[in-house]
Amino acid sequence: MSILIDENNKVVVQGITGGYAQRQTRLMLDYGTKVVAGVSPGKGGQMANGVPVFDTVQEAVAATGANTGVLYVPAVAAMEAAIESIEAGLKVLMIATERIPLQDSMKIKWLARDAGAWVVGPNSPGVISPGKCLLGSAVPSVVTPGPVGVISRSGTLLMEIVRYLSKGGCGQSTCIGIGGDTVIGRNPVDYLRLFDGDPETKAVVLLGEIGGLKEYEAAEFIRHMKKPVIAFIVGRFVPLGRRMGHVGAIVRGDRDTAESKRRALREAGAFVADTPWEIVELTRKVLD
Amino acid sequence: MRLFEYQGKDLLKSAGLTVPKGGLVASRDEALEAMRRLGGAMMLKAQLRQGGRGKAGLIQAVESPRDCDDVFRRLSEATLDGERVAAILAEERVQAAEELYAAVTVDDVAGTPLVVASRQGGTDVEDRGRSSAEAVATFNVNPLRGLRQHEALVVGKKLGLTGQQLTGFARAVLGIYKVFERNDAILVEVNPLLLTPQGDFVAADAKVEIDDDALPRHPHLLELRSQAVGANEAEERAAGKGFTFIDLPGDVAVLSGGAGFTMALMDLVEHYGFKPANFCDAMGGSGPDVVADLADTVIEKANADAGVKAVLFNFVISGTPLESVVNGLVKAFRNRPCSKPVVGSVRAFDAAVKNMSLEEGIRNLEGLGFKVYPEIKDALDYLAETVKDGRTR
Repeated sequence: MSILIDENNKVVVQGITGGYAQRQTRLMLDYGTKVVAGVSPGKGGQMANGVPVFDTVQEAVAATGANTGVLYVPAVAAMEAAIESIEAGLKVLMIATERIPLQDSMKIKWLARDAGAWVVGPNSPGVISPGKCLLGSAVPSVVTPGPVGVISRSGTLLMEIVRYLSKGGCGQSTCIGIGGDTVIGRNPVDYLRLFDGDPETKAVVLLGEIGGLKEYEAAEFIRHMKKPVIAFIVGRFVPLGRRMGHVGAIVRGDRDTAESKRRALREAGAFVADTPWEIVELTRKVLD
Repeated sequence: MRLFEYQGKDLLKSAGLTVPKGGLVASRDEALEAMRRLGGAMMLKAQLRQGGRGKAGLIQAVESPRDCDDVFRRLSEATLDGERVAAILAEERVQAAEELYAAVTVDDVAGTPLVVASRQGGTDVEDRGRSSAEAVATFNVNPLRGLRQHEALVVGKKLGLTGQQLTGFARAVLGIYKVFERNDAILVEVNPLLLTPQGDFVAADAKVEIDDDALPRHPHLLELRSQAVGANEAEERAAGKGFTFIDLPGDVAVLSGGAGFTMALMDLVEHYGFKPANFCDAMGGSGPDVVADLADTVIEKANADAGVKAVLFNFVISGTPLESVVNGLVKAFRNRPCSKPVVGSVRAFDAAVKNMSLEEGIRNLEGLGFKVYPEIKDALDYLAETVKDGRTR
């Protein structure tokens, strides 16, 4: 088992004719993901990477039975594209686009919620269930199948930590880049809930950052979780009140700090790591 | 982007709120003229992008021409934490029966706009809000339909307002929300929101922060940015070139991509007993020019700052082609040689190594004199052994 995605996801790529999207589509196809359609308005009838291109998501769904979306549309047009996918009935939508205006992200989140769709991102590097399905570019060459669920706000951190976990013999059930923005489709707590109910997942690694308060919501849930959680929060030495690369990492007040989050997670019963390699040690310990 | 008070007040006014009469004054004569117009007494308020002006004495009441002269001169020369005063706002003094607080910001957990209001406005509102939670009313707004009138009334009722005060307050909150929504703000804060003895609400201050990612669709706000002053030059330059650079006092400069791992790297630098000298981040998929510009900014910092003992680099890439990163680094380090040792690690996977293998990338970096390790831990161990003992050049 895994969460969110497995062999049964049929993927439509929005914005498939862009250069970046084409490279990512190639990567997904190489991994074995069932990419069945692409969408690019005005380019319906063409092929991209051997995948048929449609003008609208609705047409793509009707023709191919796609149930999952990956979105590479530029920020200015991303909300329109996301609404289109949600209204076409896609159940999982991974939004890779960076720098989507915050008010657009809030609308996407609530529209998806009302429609019962699961939005990963915006600003997500992707999702992977090792050996089954890859959305985006999240870490295909460093994963190994296994019992650890991984949740990360950041792409590079996800890639490095998963690599360390694999090297240390801790394979993964599903690895998720949940998105680095202030407002995202689903919060860490939503993924923790899925992992807690997934029979294959035995432990969860939660990678967080300074900024925002989502880790507190997660900590409340961790208190009642059946499975152990290993948490790692970066940005302990980032000065207050400065803007980092992720909008969500703006530090406002004490509760935004890495130290405060580490304390809350520790009190909730999570194992809190100080260094990337300590994550692996702690994970091995809870798996034994 | 943070707006100045006077810019924020213009937005509030156009959304129907009452703001004090007045305007910017560029000289002592203009200040004196404003004072005559405003009835012989007024406020002079330094315009800065950061908070804390009141406590720093940069908001002053003046009552005589001599006062006006002195205060104007003092404010025009003032700085706050290195930021120079950009302009001076002259305003009428507004009588207040009560000072309230009203703001709209973003709730990152719920993913909604959040109205925050209190009967106890003023300079310590945050502290007082924490000590007595009932003094603060909050309301999560459904972003799909915006704030409705009855919801603004509920916020006012939570604060114990009644009658005309209640309806007047609700109108003010609706106006603040309108500014938030129309301008893609991430914060619109009015503190204090004055209640006059006549029962009117007046926005005596305005803190407005616009979502940078939404600026492309607000050309009129983008123009306001050109009025920015006092920001760190290297940081401003970075923002214009598509990457983030934050200057810090430290002994190890950091050259890295990806905000998440860069923060982890900075934490590791501290873990090893050093201090990071900067933060930097380039967007995924960046081309060689962005990498070169970012590297150049870091080299410039490392060369100019005697406190910097080494540059620690780390690149973990899968989506961005490796040659973009390597060629960018080669360009920057050829163009501006770095006087400090450069140590670090690079890993590339998948699509990143289509046109350049990792081995070739590493060879190129070693050609620049970089010490390249397979793992960042090895690079940190090396730094701990050599740099700490002062054995570097």
